[in-house]
Amino acid sequence: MKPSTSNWKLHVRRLALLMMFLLLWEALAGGIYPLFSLLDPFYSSSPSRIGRELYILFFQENVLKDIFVTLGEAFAGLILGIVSGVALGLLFAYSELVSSTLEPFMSALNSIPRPALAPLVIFWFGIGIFSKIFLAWSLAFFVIFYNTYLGIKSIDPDILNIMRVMNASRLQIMRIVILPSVVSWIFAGLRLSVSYSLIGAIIGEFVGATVGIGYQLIYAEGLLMSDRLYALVLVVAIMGATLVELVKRIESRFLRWRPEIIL
Amino acid sequence: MEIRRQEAVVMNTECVSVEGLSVSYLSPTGRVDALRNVSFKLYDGELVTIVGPSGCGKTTLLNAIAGLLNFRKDVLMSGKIFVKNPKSIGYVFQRDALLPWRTVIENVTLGLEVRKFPEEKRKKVALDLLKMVGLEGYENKYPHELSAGMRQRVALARAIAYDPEFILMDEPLGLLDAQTRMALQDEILRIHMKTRKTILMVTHDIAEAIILGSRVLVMNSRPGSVKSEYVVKLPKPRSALGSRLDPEFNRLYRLILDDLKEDMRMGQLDLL
Repeated sequence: MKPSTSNWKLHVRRLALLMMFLLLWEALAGGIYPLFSLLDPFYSSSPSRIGRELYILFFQENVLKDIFVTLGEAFAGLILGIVSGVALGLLFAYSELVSSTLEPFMSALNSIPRPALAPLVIFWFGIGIFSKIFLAWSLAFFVIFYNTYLGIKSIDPDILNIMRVMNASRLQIMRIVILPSVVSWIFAGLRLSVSYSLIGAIIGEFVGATVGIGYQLIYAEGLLMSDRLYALVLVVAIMGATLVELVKRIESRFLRWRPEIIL
Repeated sequence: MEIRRQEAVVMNTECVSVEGLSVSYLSPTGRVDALRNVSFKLYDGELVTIVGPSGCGKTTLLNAIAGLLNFRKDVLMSGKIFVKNPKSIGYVFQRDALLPWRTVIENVTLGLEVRKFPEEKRKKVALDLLKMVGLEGYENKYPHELSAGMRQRVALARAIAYDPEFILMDEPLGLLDAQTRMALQDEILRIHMKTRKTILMVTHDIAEAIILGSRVLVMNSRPGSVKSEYVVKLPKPRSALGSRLDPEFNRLYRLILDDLKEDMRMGQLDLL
């Protein structure tokens, strides 16, 4: 069952667990009583050190700029992925010739692990934003493409039959049946493709960049700034969670007709 | 292949006629004969049922009449199909085939939307029909919020909404539980009495075929053909329950069951 927001006991329980975890972490790293420390804070860091690092990142080093660059790259890749994925998905669904010819090539391309591709992409597009957009696109595209293609293929044939019996034109079938079901399949793939495009952008920044969260991570690693690594991982986690939550909101607005799926 | 689909002939009370229809499906592994030499006629305002075992080509027959097989390259057809007004056909499927992203009322108005009727007119027709099938107040629900029986009522309303002369029904009650099925049998009888549409309905339930049909065509399978025809002389207006208690019902049930026994022995009849 889905917990309702009025279920305050559950929230208190969760908050208490989180506080206990943070306190234990702080204590084990010697942050509360220095003689009692089982962990070396160089490796384990501690909540207070991470907090201090976050303060430095946001108020002294303007990490917001990196966040927005990475988000922008991911978003651009996602939009390009949706446009091209839908277009090719439609083409595949409508043309047996195209789909039967290209299908093995598509799965071959999709099976390339993107980190392996990243150096080559930097080589093609340089260390600017375009290489990151390309990598984000290369991940988002396939999710949207396969969702569109298989989505159209899985349209109930009886729905198409009823349209034909009603003498609907091709254009009407497109507008009334094909496009609405494509939209719902895109949304089904959107949560995945949003996370994927973020991954693509960060991989690109690992390999070569001058700005962005991925760049900041590599930079901190190079200088052995373990607290900063923890802080940045937290930032990335929050970015990912925020995006997925945003997609969920949009999704539930557009897919009101669907039975609620509780994961 | 000769398929005749001509426009209305004046004073012709024949609504549909099928003559010597044979249909085969071609596949890479060979040829499957679905129908062989099927002939029958439907007259205006009749409700005729077809009963037969699964796999006897009932769906193929309906699709051929609806013109859905005409453009398929993997289908071989011979014989004649005449439909008085091939542009005015309704179709109800076993699975409701509602558009899940459309509300009940948007589903019912589908045919009117395709025919470009103005919005207010569409709405009015749909609301009247929803009232007729007992779904008043459900117009803004989505299909997944309704029970199977209610969804099938919506599918019925959708098939009538654009006022087709002739409605095909492919086991429309096949997936419903016994009580709901009886309620909808009454519904179909009522709709037929009220609208006087010509209806051709396929079922594998012998009782249903007798209760609803003014004539019952019995098909046998592989390849499907019409084996016999019975005129049902049950008093009107009929009801699902009342008809079952009539001696005529039992007489016909026996006869049809005997007709189907050969197929049953071959293990192809799934009555249950």
